[in-house]
Amino acid sequence: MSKEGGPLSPHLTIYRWPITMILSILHRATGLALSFGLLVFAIWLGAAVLDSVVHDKVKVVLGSTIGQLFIFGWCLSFFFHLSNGIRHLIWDAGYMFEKRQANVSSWFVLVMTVFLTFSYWFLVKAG
Amino acid sequence: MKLTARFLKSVKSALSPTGTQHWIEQRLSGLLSIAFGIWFLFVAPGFSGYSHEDLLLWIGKPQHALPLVIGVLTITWHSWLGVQVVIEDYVHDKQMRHLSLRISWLSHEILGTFIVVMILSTAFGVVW
Repeated sequence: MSKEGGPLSPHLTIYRWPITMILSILHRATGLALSFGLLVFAIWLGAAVLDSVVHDKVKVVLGSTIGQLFIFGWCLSFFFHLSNGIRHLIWDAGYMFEKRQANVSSWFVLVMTVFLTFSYWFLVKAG
Repeated sequence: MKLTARFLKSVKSALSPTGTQHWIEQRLSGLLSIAFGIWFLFVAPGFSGYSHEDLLLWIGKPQHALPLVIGVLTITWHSWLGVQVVIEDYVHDKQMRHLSLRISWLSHEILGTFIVVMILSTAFGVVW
């Protein structure tokens, strides 16, 4: 707070983040996470083709609790990046630009992300 | 049809300067990645039950190898475009920015090439 208790200029640390801004940051963060996932996919596939012993070790790592946690994270990232990506495509086509629409679609993307991730995870684990 | 017309209009404008070109490529690679991503969600759960040999047999089938190659190339391209934007936005020092972009480009090139070679060699029965 300023001494006089007057208004402050918006600054990242005190500014109440609009939901649209959080989603924009998440889109980049999940995109980077998925790029990292592509690297792990390459290691998994490369090991399968080049060396079965290494591949078995990669499988053990991916099957461990930490490995599963990472895979869950990639699922979450994928479904978020997918849902929000579609939202971007809708914007690109020139629709849903109003502030209220942008806020509502933000929440819709978040709900879809959680719903799709947990449904997928449940379906896969249930066989 | 309105959507298609808008889309074609933006594709036309992509023929000029680089910024628009990037924009279009990011959307096109994104759209293709959606298709591949959803396909991969359906096939991936099966892998955990596969033995090493089962997996190679699966990858080697043309109906799997072809979408895999196209999907990996598309996603690698989409990843390169996305990382490029992040670097351009957050790395302010010009030399560092250029270096980061070069490293990212090289990494994506190696990554994409490596995966495609792995898939194709399996499909054509190359033993390493």
